[in-house]
Amino acid sequence: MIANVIRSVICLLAWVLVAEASPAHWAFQPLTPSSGQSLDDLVWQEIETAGLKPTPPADRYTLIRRAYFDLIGLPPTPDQIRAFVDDRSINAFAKVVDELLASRHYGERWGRHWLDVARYGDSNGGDENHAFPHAWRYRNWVIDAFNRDLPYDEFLRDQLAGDLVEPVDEERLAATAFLAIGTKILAEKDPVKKRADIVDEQLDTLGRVFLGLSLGCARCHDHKFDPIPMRDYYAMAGIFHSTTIRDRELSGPRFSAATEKLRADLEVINGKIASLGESIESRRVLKWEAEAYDRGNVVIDTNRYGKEIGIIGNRVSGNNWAEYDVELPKPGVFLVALRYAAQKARPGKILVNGKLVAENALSEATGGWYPEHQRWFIEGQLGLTAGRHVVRIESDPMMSHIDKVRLTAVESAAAAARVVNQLESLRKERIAANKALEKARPMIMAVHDGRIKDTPINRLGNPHDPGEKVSRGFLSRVGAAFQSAPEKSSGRLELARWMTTPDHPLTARVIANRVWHWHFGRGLVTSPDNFGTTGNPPRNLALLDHLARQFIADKWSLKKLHRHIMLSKTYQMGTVSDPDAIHGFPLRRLEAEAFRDALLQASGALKRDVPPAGSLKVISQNPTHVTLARNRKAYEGYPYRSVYLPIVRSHVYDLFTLLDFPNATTPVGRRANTTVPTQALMMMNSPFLMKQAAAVADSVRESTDPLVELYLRLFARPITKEERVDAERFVRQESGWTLLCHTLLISNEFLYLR
Amino acid sequence: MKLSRRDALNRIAVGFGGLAANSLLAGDSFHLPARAKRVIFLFMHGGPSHIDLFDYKPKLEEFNGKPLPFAERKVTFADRGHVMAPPWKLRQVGQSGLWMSSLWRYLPQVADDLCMLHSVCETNVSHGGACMKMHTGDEALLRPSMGAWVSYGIGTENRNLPAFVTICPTSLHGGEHNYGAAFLPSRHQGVPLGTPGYPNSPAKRAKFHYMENAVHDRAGQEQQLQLLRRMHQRSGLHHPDLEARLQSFELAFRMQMAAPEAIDIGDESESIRRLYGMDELDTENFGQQCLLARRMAERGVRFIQVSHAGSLPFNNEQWDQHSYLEKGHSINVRQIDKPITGLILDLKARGMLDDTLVLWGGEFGRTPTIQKGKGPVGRDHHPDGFTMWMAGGGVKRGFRYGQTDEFGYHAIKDRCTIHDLHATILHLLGIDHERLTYRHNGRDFRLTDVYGDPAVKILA
Repeated sequence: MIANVIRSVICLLAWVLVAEASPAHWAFQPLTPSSGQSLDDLVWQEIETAGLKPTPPADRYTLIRRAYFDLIGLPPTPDQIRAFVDDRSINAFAKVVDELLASRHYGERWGRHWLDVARYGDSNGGDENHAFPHAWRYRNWVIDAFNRDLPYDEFLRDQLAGDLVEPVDEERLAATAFLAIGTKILAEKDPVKKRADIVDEQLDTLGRVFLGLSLGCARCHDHKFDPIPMRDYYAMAGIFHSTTIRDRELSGPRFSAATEKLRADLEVINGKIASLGESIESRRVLKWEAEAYDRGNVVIDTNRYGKEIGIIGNRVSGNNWAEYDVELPKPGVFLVALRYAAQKARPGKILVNGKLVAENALSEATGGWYPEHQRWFIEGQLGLTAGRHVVRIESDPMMSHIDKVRLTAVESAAAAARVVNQLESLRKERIAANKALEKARPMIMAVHDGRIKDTPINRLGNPHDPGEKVSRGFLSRVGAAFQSAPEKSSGRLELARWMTTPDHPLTARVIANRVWHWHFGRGLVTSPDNFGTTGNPPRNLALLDHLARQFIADKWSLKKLHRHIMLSKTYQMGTVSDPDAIHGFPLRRLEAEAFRDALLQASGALKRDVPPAGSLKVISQNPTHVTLARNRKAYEGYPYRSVYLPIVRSHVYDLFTLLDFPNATTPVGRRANTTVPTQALMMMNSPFLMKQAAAVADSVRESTDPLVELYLRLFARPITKEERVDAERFVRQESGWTLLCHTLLISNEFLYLR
Repeated sequence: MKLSRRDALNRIAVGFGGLAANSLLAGDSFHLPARAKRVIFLFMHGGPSHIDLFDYKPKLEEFNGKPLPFAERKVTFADRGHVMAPPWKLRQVGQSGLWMSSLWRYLPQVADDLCMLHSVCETNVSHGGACMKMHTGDEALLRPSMGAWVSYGIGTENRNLPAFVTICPTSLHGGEHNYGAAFLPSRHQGVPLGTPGYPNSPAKRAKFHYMENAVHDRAGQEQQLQLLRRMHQRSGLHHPDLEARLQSFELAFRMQMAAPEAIDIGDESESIRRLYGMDELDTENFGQQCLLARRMAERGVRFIQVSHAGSLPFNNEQWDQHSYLEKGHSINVRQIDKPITGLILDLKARGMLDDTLVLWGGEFGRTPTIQKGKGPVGRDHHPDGFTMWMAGGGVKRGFRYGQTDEFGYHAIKDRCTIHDLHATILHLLGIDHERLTYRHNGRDFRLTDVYGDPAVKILA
């Protein structure tokens, strides 16, 4: 205990010292002014200072393979290679770069880079691994944003506040899934902690992703190393406490077409049901509010869902019930009806005087939880004597939101049975129509402004120990002068604007560094998600600032930044072996996705189109070992590009994880690069790889010179004499072609980019 | 530029989990004298009831059918009713007089080897949070698992096998995160023996992946390796990653032979199979898991997890008896009693119990009150005070550590939080939990975050 106290004091002292010093930290200073030097000048100077010489330019074979993988994540075809090698014009390479930037595959490659930092996943991960069935729309939005070169300041803004930008654009709403796709602890029973954890995840993510800052550290105490006081954390937390995560339906004309007919079908059925209800309107109708129960344990809600209308609904833990005492002056045959809303069906029962009247009541979904989704449902019929009766509604474990209860007298038991039978079949139709509509509805994961409120500082990060309230705002000691958020909205839009003011010291530097990192496999700052004082300093600050300035001047265009980098001599240098070398292009390993796509392209199995939505089904929640084996089979049989494979958090496709695909739960700006025997075992023995190898072998053998074709296809270069001797020895054996192709596919040359 | 030692280790990972020489501590010597060389964690998924199995509370009889005389915790999983006495008799067993339910027929044989931890606490009231807290030290953030920390700390003793093996893991409540490496280098993550699943996969079919090749024979694979090496030599590139990759292929080639041998129980005698209960239907599956664990332990694997994580037809996760407490716990104890006792006896007979730490327990205990609902009664989740036990590995024998209150509700004496538990496990392995750190995102992380004290009273 005493040791702990001493430790805390030491940390605090360290912090005081650092905090005093931190305004001088390079990353919080404005961008340095231009010295007029070009990108190459700055790199050449650096190489010279290190006592080295620039490596001579890469040959054309190397260069085209490098550019293709780098920009579109796929290898060039033999024809594309020959065309470039034979093109003697001065701008031959610039033409290639421009073609690739215009290719649809560019977004699939660079969008995937972004998905790494956006911790993109198609299921929750965490404690309960429910599927995120609509997440793919965010993924596709990202791919599309890269393809149309959406300026980065707008790209950032749309992800934080796409719902608040005027005029409202349906497609932009999908961008806000950035805030919704984080891993949540879904079964957390403490709602206050749960909410605080979700906000923390959002804040910490956006801090790392856009600013290179670990904001999460300031949840429990002032940041020990960076100038982020706890106050600022809660100022920003207020913005996200004022923001609600909720799936929503896209309703623009582009989207409604798909569901129009289904909606019409549903309306027809609803009309029939309503008229059936009217046809039996009787003089004796007894109708009462559901919340006026005489006994029961259900929650009465007149505020949150009911909007002052009043409903009864679910309590936390099952066995919901409500009982009503009803006085009937005259006997008769009655229809029992309930009016309720339910986004998901929560079936229950109706009993009268302890006798079951409707076994399968409350069995429909009405489209939502709110008053506008309430509908009447006739649930059953029975004969009752005059006098007092007890009507009981039960539902377990969850209850729909019930608004009203009704007893309608009809003339005879036969008439009642007729109505009930007709209703029964209409309702079956409606369930089917609803299902079809539900499936076709274009849903997105999204956020919107909720109840706007400031948040108190949580002492020691404990949400049950609130301290002083802080007005919503941004960082007070980094970037432009402190601003506070508007009164009537959460402040997300203002936050995005504050982050993208041209004089913000972090935003442009962080993304320029990411782009450099994704081109070269190593950033100028080698801790791309941490620009704080505990991160690594930039290898060449002048160069980083040159890129950031140019990027802002080019109106935050990523495609211009790619051109700027790729058309430099620096990018086109030959490869160097030294992992930390600055005087050549660093050798890098292909990412898992590029490896898989290249494999499928080589075997001829790759489909380059965008796959139809929902064309690959995998299971995330409570998978058995059989389900997981089925998932793997589904992945292996899927012919589309890797970016379109659903990411099941906690059970990511093992071909990916063995090649260091991120775990998809936290931003990853720099993937690991490990070499373990399990990876080698997969390369040597995976039936999937063997199958591709056999397919490569079969297809190259049809060409006039199979070995030339093979080397061009796999390595984008001609085969050498020595290699031909080796290869010919292989293919003379039985099944030697498969063995040869397999070996080349798992070779260093195939997996690494020079 | 020079590589830092850690960079070099990350780049050139030789061996399944990195050679012992590549671990953090080897070569620098351990922080502390190591009492245990390895851990076998017998994980009881769902939450076994401490008060019905080990933690004897006479007050429960007295209050049977009456409400608890104090307020329950604020956040509960489900609604609860009155106090319920255990449906079984608890009796004292062995020389040491540890308490055990009459359900245990075999375990009393080794009672004097066990060290009861009666005061484990502070996981989480839901399975997911509790499982993640138990395995990684945090219920919400995704952190490296304890096996991964052990691998990172002291590596493996067998370069042809992983340092951390998890036998038939569950896919629920954190799934791979519960044996993952998170931000630690990925070679430290647990290697599943058997595909994860819910219910977990049968032990009979458990194997390591990618160990067989249906197309190439050994000679073909040797040719393949030769060609890979020749291609590399011709490339003229001398990058450490490329060298490491070639080495990893050669190692993988050797492992294809070592791993199948390690899991082939064909050479175990009839008497050993009987000892683990492999001749009986109820115990066959878990018996095989335990036997596999012993084989892994013998071959130098550092951290072995065995999961009792199936499901029962009448309720959910294996030990999660919200209802059918009597039926469920009877079945569960029957499935593990003989195999676990057999494992301890076997380790003892081989002289391995002294340096193997066996740890038994679930993600929480169960409430002294019944759970309201229909069907035969059960008990709710209870993270505030529950029992785990240890055996071997340098802990006291026949010992009771910590205490819950009269109702088995709150841990009141020698509280053992999950951070304390983790600190204790590392301590037994010769690791100071405050010094086993990994730098990530600008901060030094620990398995125990900023908490934890080893339970020194249990050291033998």
